[in-house]
Amino acid sequence: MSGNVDELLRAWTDEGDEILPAYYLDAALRQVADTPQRSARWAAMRRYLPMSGLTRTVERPIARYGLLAAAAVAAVAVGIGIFYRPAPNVGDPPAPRAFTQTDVDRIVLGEADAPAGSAYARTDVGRSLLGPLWYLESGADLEDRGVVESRQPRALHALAGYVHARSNTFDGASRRDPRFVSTAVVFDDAESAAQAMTLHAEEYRTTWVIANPTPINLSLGDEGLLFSVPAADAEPDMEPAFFYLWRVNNLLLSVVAVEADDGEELEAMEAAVRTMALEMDRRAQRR
Amino acid sequence: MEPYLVGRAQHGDRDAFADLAAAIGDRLFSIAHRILRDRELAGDATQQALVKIWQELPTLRRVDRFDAWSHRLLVNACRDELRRQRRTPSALHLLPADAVVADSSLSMADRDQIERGFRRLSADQRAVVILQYYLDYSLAEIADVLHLPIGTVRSRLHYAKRSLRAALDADRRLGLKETQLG
Repeated sequence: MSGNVDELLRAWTDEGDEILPAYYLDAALRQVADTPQRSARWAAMRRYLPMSGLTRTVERPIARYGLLAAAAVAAVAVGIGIFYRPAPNVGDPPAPRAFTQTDVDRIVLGEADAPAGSAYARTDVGRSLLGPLWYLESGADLEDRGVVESRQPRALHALAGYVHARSNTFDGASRRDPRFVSTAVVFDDAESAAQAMTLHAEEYRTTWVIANPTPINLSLGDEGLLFSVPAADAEPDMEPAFFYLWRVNNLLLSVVAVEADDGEELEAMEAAVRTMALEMDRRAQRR
Repeated sequence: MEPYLVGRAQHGDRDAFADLAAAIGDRLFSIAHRILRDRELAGDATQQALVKIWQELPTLRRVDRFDAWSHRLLVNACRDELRRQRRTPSALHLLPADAVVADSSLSMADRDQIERGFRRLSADQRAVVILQYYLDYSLAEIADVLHLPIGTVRSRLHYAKRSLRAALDADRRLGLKETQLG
């Protein structure tokens, strides 16, 4: 062994340059020919149309760690459900009924619930609200939608049991004001909802680069998480954000707040999004 | 980086993207090959990254950050490939002959040792090493590319080098022992 590690590494990494075999370039371009850009449905949406608060936020690196944690929490919750079954008792309350589409519309915050300084902007429905799988419209062909082949099984599983999704967005007076999004997605059963969280977590983990997450515990539903992108970690093109994600039985809920400036506005945004999450959870628990 | 092509591709011009992909493909492949140490995996990762670049281009707000941004997507793709490879135990990857370049200042023994040491690193450690030593990125630039705090980059680099040094030392000790036994 000669030389130090620095010298060796530099010499080793400098060894020649490779040429990308034409096969891979051709394959990529063939794929690109059938792959839509996010421009129409994502970039424009994220800047001007307030739809898809969940998707808007999950592009933020912060969501990746958080949702991984969500997956872990989901696994624990499922484990408890399997192994801890108290003996039946005449006095036991009946099992909570599953949520339905009607419940979703009741739980998602409406016009009257707009946080201070913002106003109801729009409602969106449909499975496109389901996180990073935004391009999966109802009945969409996975291959035609440009989902990388290796991710197709995950995409299909993440949609398993999907019933209905609704999202209401609240915008401030200007683009620099915070934007809030209240979203609910109902699945056939709790297992499907938990599975969707897990698979989305995996999707985020493999798709987005990790930032510096700061998860904060808040008791919400059966399992809940809060993620935040502190101002100090926000990049020039990535504003501070707060993102709650939680599950109640077969319901997946989220509240997102983004784009506050630093300082007092940030604190107000954090308080507002917390209030929104608690209100949605209260509505969900009141069945 | 070709700002003109990036700008046109951002607006959905597939021909411009084809030119852009041809312009950056070799560079991306070189980086991926150094991280993954396998031409097939590197080709797959590059292909995946190119498609992702196309998909995400409209979300890139500053064209002058294209290089760092595309390298981030490439590192993600490499991470995916490594993970996939490790999930497939039947896919045995031996040291490929094409990973070795004959015309080099490194001795065969050095290259072999560092190759083996590098393969023991995690995907994240490999990426940090390649970004610094191959692309000559500063710690701040690596932090920017990987969306990590500088402290995290520094620590990953530190552990990667320590791990490499340990692996190389172990190989050296083993070599000495074998020599003595022989």
